[in-house]
Amino acid sequence: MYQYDSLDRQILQERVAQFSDQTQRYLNGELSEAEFLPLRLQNGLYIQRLAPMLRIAVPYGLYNTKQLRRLAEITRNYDKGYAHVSTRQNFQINWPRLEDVPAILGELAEVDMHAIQTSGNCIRNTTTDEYAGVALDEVEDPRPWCELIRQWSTFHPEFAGLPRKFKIAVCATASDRAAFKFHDIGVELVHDDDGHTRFNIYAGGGLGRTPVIGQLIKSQLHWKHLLTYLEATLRVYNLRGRRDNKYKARIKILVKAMGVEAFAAAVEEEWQFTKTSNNVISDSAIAHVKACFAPPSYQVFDDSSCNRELASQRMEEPAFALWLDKNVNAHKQPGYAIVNLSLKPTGTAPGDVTDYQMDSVADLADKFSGGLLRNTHKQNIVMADVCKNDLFELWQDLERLGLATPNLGHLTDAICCPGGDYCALANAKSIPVAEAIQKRFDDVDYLYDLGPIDLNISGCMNACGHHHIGHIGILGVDKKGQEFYQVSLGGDMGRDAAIAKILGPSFSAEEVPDVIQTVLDTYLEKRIEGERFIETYNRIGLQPFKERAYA
Amino acid sequence: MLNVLKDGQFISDEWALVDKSVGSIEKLPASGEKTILPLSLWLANTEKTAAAPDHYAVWLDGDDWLDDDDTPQDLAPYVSQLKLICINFPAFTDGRGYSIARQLRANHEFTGELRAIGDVLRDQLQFYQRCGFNSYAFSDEPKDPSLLNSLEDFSVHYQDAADNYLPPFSRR
Repeated sequence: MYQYDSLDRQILQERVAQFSDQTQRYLNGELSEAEFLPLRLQNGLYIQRLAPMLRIAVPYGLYNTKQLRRLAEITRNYDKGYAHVSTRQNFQINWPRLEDVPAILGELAEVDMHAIQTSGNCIRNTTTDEYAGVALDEVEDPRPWCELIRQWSTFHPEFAGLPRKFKIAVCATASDRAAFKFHDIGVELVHDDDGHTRFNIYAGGGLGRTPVIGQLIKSQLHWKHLLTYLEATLRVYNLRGRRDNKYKARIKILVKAMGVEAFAAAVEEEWQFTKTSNNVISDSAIAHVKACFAPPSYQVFDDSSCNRELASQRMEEPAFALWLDKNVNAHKQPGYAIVNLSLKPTGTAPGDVTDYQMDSVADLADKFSGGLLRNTHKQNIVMADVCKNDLFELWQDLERLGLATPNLGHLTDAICCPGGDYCALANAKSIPVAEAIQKRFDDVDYLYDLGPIDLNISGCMNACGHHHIGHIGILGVDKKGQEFYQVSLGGDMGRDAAIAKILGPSFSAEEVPDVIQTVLDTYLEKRIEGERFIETYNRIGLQPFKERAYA
Repeated sequence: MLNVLKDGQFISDEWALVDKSVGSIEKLPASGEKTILPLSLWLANTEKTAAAPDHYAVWLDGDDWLDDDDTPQDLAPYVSQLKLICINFPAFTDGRGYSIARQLRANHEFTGELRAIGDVLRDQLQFYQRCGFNSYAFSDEPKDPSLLNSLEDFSVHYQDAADNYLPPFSRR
């Protein structure tokens, strides 16, 4: 992973000092509530329904075991002993005291962590594929580029007061796991005919109230201009994005209003002025960052003998076989595998992980996966470099920790925002809805027969639970003070990016599991052998589901 | 009132700001005064204003800058003669002024005094400075001398801005 040096640490320490001073001035009454608000937000600190919430940045989801142990310690000392993995691959803690936040930031800084720009109207954490560097279908490791975007966007003086939040994702694979077309800017890493790194830049995607698929504004951008081009794009948005209505302030509204050609032309014009700056990436700059992400020194294994061993372990232990099938992915290196830790057992808020689990996972990652971990935008944790020979032992440990629920990519592996239980913005609770669905559909044979289904749940229109792009989406809405849920179908967060269509009038919380049952029954009835839920939906459309649900 | 911070010093400002409700330059005090005119008024009287840059400065904000696409171009021919341009922050959270400053410094090569006015707060000082501002008008005379420290909250930056800064990634 990226190695902090004295310059990175200097910036972090100066940030801690700055925020401590700001918090002190706020507590002394020298800074007004309104003046402190954006300062604390750009440091990831929300005031939630019951307590502050601190969102801790995990750049592109990657962290080491020392950082995870520190986080576990912080949740013990300052919080209630658990953390939550967010859809931006960050960690959130829900119960810190405002007065303690400077101390927490100081302790995080000791392990090169922070909460910079995890909230507020600024450039947020850049996200990418959770399998970066080990995926079979990868053009090139996207993380060095993500790291440069992280650096360039951190305390960028020009973009500290954007019209609205701004999210960038980088995709470098054939199958998209970064949902890059649903970001304010989606960066697609490609190789040109000669194998040189180039970027296709998409702008104006996003979820929220008005979900939009991003459009291509620049193809085959030379890698050295990644940052100068982003700077030009952000400048056009900063100057022209709407500021009169927060619901119309995202870049997607601007790109639509201007038209994608005019927007791209305005960026191109501005780029003529930004492209000569010191933000041009030099050969040595990218070489330095790439060296940080060099693959570990893999052992040489005979893949087929590893597989033979796994096959016999499968026979002995059917539960292990299930876990292998569901939660373990192919790795580009022979003899290795990618292991997904499910944070979605029934009865736990999706994405929550306890301090004990964090400490234990850190130990396991040190033992089995090079001391590194990744958070996924689906709110799980990945160990990316596990020897196939270690899988059986690792599985037993994960089982004990409750992190081996074999449901990855299935209905119960739901994306879910914290919702009305925590969030001050929410119209409705989301965690109990996820739990009710997990309880109803806990029969594994049934779950596997359904095949892969993305279920995404948001407690309000802000769409933190990405309900627009779930195969099945659930949105909490407020109807005269009552919590209701709107169901939508047909979203797709992969390459075939699609926005879900609303099934019809909303349902009460009690009705939701039945409605999901009806939707699933309809699918099972209509599917052609081997067809996934989304494929059946794409073939037959919304109508058959609608007829059944409102019959 | 020592409410203007310019090049690291608090000064008593000799310029008077004219607001947008003044429709005609004739209504202004006799020449000899130093006045900062809203952009439209300044542009409507260029025979007078452009000829006397020691007496007429200009102020603008995001709404003026983009009310039609020609505004920057209208001002562009005069930028090199202006001594002072003020950029208004209607709210400190409105970041358009940062980008306008960058455009004035880079795209229009403005070398005179660039002043942040309006809702100007200490916690944004270093951002203003790195975008090309060199003076800041506070609504009141600041009482806390530690305010100046905010210009130096960070001694290392991750990116180039208007300060021709060499970011760490280019030094490694």
